[in-house]
Amino acid sequence: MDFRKNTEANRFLQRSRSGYTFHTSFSSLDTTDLSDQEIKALKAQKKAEQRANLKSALKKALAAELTQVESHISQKTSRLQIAKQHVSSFKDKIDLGLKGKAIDALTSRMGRTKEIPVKEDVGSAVSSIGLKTFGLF
Amino acid sequence: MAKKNSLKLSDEDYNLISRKSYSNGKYKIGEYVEITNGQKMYVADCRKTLNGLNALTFVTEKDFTISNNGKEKDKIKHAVIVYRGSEPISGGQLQSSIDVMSEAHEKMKDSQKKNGLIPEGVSDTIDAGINNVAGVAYFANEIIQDWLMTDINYSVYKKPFEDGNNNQMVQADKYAKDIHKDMPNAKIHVTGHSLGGVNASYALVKNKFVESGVTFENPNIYDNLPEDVKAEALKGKFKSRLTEYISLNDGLSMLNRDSEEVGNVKVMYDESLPNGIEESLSDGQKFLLNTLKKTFKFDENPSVDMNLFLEAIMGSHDLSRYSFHADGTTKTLDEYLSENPGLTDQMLKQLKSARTNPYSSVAILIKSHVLTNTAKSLKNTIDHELEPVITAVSQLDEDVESAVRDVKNTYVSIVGFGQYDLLTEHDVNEIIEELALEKVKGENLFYSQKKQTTALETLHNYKRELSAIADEVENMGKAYHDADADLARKMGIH
Repeated sequence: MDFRKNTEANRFLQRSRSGYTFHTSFSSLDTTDLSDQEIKALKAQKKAEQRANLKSALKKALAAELTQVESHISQKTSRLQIAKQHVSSFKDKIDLGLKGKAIDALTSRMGRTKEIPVKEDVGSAVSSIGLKTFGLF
Repeated sequence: MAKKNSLKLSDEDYNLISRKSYSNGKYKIGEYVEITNGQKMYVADCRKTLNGLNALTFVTEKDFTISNNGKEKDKIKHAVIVYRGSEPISGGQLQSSIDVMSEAHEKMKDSQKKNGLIPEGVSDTIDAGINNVAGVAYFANEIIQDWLMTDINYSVYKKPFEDGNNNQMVQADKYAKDIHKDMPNAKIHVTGHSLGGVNASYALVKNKFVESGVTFENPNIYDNLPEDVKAEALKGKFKSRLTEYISLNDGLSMLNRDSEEVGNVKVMYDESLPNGIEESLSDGQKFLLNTLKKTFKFDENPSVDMNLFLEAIMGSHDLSRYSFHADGTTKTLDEYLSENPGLTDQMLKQLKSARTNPYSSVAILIKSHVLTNTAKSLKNTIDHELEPVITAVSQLDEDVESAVRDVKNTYVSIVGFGQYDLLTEHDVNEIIEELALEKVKGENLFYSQKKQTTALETLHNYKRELSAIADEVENMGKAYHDADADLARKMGIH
């Protein structure tokens, strides 16, 4: 089928591309005046459009769902900051109130827990949630 | 029925006896004080000296009776020597004393200007002035003999008690020896508060016949002791016989607590924090504060807290602040902190303001509670803050898969109809695969499995480290609390 000719099918497809038949089902289209070849071409074109529409819809739906999941997990993992603050305040209390070699060794060990990249690694895992097409990875 | 002639005094009894010994009226044989359970202790002997020693010897009612009202002392089986401490000085009494002295001083200066002689009657003027102000003579002696001559001279400057002067402590030792001589069959116990506690402690370490002693809020006397007694103190020889109750709020009882300790030191719980005395001082008290600061080199002794010291002088360290269990034992800070972990921070503040040596028993006690509480808090943090994070990250894959599955199912149910009438489930699956970040073992993943694994490994590593620290903190708290003999000797714990 030569789609360059201004056939009825071409005109139909042009109208489809222009939008107002974009979301219509194939079965609702009137194809009585079209040849089998034209119908086949139209069907293929329509299927491609439907697939593109579906992909767009799935993207949006998945993105919305995954954003919600990410937000929910972020909320849970925010307790990590509280845990780190607690450790820091325990260290400060011991540091300020007590002295001694064993205490120094203890507070030094507590201080070194800051070097464990727990916040970064958890943040990285949580923010990895997403779609390929969103360009996150 | 004959009354049982035994003596079992509790901390509360010693506290009552010490407290009641402050009454001048008790300095007469035959006077008595009532202690717990309706018991009465009778004065069988007393001694007051010009150097400020105020000592009373109490005996049981039974002993007082069988000794013919204390006259036949060899019949006495139990005796409690009470050394009275420094009387607190009220602002009014102090101001009155100063006014009287100032007036006399001015008269002396005027007289000296006129003829270079001290006028007749000046001493009479002073005496008359003193007599017009109730208690001034008494308190003037307290200031000079107790607070200035003894408390500051010996406790602040750490002079040896045996410095050749017939000071209160030497007299206290002699008094105990005299009582032992007079009452050779009596088991002798000592007690005292403040400077009285110093005297009682000294009498105990100097005399093996003193069976036991309970003192309240006295400075540590270790630095004042002769070398041979210090050596015994270092070995903990007195800890089983001498119990010293101290308060973190009290300037006198915290004095020299940076040195080795002599008795078994226990910290009583005093809920009040130091108030910051300078703001509430009367003019007389301000005068005394300034005089003390100018006259004495308090800075040389790091255990001196001027505010706490002044509060002690002004009467903040009386014995009524103590509370007791039903069996008469003193409620200690240790117990309060065990029951109220939240108080640990407050006690730490007191500890800091008192400039206590970190190796003193007081510091060790607070440390043990701080550490024990910190270990508990840290474990709590692991359980309630860190564990939920580990769970959330562990379930990240399931949460994501569930969300994707929900979306997929929704679209699988609408393909083949309407606007997607040319599509099938296969198209949905294909699109989802296209949108997935990665495919692992046939599964489309919308998160980084590697990053999830890394995060979990790091979280478990963090948890292991915090748990190990919590265990270490807990063990340190226990170690401080249950210190072994060597640690106890060094740190003064028993």
